[in-house]
Amino acid sequence: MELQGKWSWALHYFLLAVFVIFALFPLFWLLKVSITPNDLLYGEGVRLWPSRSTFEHYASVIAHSQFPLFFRNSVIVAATTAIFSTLLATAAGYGFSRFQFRGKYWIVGLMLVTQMFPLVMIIAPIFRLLKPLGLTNSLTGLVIVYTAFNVPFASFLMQSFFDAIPKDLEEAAMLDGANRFAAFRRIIVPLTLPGLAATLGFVFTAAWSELLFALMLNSSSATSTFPVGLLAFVSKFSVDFGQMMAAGVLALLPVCIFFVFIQRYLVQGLTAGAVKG
Amino acid sequence: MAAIRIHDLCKSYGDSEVLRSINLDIEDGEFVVLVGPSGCGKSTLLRLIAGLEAITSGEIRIGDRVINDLAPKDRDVAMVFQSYALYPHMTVRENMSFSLKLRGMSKDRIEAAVQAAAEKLEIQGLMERKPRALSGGQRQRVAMGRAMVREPKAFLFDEPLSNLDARLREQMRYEIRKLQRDLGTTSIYVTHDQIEAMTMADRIVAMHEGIAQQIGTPADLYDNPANLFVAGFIGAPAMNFLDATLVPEPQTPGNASLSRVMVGRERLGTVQHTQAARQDGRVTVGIRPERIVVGAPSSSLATQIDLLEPTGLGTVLHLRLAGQRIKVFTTERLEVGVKDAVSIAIVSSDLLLFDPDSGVRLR
Amino acid sequence: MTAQARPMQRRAIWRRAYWRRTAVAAEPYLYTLPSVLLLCAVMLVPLVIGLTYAFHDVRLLDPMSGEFIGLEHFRELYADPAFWNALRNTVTWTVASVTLQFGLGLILALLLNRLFPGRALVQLLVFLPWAIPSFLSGLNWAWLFNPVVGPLPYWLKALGVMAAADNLLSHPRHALWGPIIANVWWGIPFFAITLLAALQSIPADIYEAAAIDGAGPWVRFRRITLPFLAPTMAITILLRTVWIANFADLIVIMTKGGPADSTQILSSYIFTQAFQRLDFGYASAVATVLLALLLAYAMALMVLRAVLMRRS
Repeated sequence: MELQGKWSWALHYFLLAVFVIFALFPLFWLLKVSITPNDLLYGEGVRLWPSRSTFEHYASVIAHSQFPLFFRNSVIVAATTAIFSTLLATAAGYGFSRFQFRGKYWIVGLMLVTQMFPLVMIIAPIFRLLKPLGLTNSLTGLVIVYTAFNVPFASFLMQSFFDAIPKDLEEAAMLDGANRFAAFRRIIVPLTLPGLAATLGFVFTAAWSELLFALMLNSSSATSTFPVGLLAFVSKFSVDFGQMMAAGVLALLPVCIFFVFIQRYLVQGLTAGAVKG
Repeated sequence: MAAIRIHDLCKSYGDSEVLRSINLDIEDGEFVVLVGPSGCGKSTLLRLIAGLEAITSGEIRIGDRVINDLAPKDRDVAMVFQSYALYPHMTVRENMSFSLKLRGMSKDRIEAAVQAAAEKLEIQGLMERKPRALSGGQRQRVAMGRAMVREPKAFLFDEPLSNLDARLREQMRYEIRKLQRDLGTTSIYVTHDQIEAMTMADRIVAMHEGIAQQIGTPADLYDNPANLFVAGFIGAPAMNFLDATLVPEPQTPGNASLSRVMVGRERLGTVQHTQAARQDGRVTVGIRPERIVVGAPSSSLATQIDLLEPTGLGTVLHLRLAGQRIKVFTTERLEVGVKDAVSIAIVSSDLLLFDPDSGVRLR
Repeated sequence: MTAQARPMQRRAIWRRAYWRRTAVAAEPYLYTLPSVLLLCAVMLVPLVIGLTYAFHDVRLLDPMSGEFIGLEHFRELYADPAFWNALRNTVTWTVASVTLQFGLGLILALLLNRLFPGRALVQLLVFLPWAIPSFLSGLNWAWLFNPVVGPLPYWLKALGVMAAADNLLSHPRHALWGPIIANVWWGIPFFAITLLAALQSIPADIYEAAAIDGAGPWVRFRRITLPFLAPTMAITILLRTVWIANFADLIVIMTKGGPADSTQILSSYIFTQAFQRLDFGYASAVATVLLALLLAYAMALMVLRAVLMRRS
């Protein structure tokens, strides 16, 4: 679609610049305040860049606060959730991809429904169910809950990866002497490594960002994940912006890095999915 | 190696019947080709034998065993897929060793078996390559090697040459058939290409709409087709079919009838048939293009040329006879052009009669 | 083989066949069952339990609570101004967020659909907000609105939008716009990516044919782009609407629903009732109403879809 004229290109670049600035400005500001020393923070107010920069906030956050603990908890929960979700989703996704069976509509329907209703609805019942089991204030409880939340989306994602592998590979393996599960394990799964990586990444990001359930199910700082810890920190020390913003920048790092790698495939992947609606 | 007996086999998907009552006895070491247009059920039949689909009713025996409910891995058959289905993440050697490894064979024996097969197929130099680094023909050979090392009771081929170009197909036809003769393994080969069927088969099963229309040697199907479908499917260029009328001639002694075959006002010939013609005398008459003689001086039929198709070997003449199209194939070099008139001659014994509605051959 | 032995052999064969057929039929369930069990345990069972809470007096702080009170909660919420306010806010929040996210996302997608040098980098930068965890997006914007460290109050005053350089989030009438803007910032990339993918699937030769036929850019947009995008747009908007209506994180973080419950939407109201007042019964009642509304919305969609399909 070629539009002629210098004016249209000028408008084009201008609008793009607006979008880029809009997208990046908040992050830029976050970064800027995080490296502004405390004495300049209130004095210089809202300059675009501090006259002196410092990493002391990062140092305090890493060395003196509980953020390393929160970070560690989040990594444990997110990674474990990612692994379990991907395991379950791989099996379920394979089932959806290769079989036509009577319960399929019901099971797929169940998965779709769970993506649609407001999760806040079950926050109270889950609390009351997990408390007697000792799974509140526990990373394990969070992992169980998060895994359930992510399995449907992960299953559909894995299903689309399995759909791309021709069925005759398993058939060849089954004739060669493998039963279906062995064919699945030895032939099909090794071919979906990119899909496994993508699913692990998506679930990790989702679990990393979850706030409400972590807040509800957890009241001790020993088992707080990063969002909860950051929020508690914010309400307690609401004036130490430098440290808070430094903590925020640290929270961004894992997901930003992951995103930089996969965003190119997002559009490609969605082109295939979007056409199907 | 074993005989395969298929008895009254039926397959339906829900309400649609894909295979109807297939009966087939394959001898040990025989090369049987299932041929037919898309959707005729030939691939489904192959997959039922392999165990990749479930049988609706009927029985399949390999050797003496009924294999209806055996898992594919327990049937001891090997399949060469249309897409070859080579494991992409394994080398050629690993592809060929996979089934033997699953069986728990010792490393040395596996090595020996794979090496022997590779030599036979002349792919020794490709053993460490991955499938994506192979050409179509090479992949085909590896797929065959993978099947060969297992020394199965039967080979199943699912249109293995469809993805190759014409030149390569010709060569692979020869190689596959030669290999099978050397090994002596019972083989079932599925294709939609009647040339492959004719050149490779010991016997052909011509299939259409889920029914085995005719089972016989290539010569049987060519000379003696059982119905319109088989007559029109086997042989290229395809048989001519003309709407004609049978006019009874005075009776000859015996049970046979004698009738004149009339196309419009032209008399094609006189045929003897034991089965009665229809009341209204309508019939479809078949005559192969290569059996028609052009430019014979005796009792010729007048036609006009619509189109000429030179094929190198000969020429296909598209003619108009009494308002209907008729093709003639001749190896003679003729000095003719479009709109020219030519006369053709037909030997009566080459005429085949078919019922115009059911397609069944009228003998 | 005697005549007697044959029926026993046949039975043995039949039994083996039966087991094999059962095993084959059960296979797909074995693959999907673990996920199904987990989902039922963690989501379905609590859902049903949650619905029953709506009809019981359930307070976490009071261990003696739990008695059946019928429709008491529902009467309570009918008379609760905060509930109706939350309902109104839910509509405002959803409509504003979806419209802005979609509109700006569409413009961005159109801009990115043209090839220009540096497009890959620009694409990466404008999609970055999507990668930011929502809690961080909320905090980030809350700080931007905070006159102590953020520039926005001063800019808003300079633009004449606000009388003094205060925190937008502490004005009951306008505070909801804070989370809306954060939501738009965070949500544009999602729409842009989806619409861009749809735009890129439109075959180029249709545009070329139209250009040859003399259609200008606006006509091409109206007659080619929009109709092609329509199905994707429709589905994306409809699904996103539900998701945004339920999305409480930003509001909880930025305003906690305040000042004075003025920025509550239904789902954040449910959360604060459960989390702060620990009144699970009332929270569940509000949640039941929300669920009913969502179901009504879904049904309306299905009816609409059926009507449209019958017409075409």
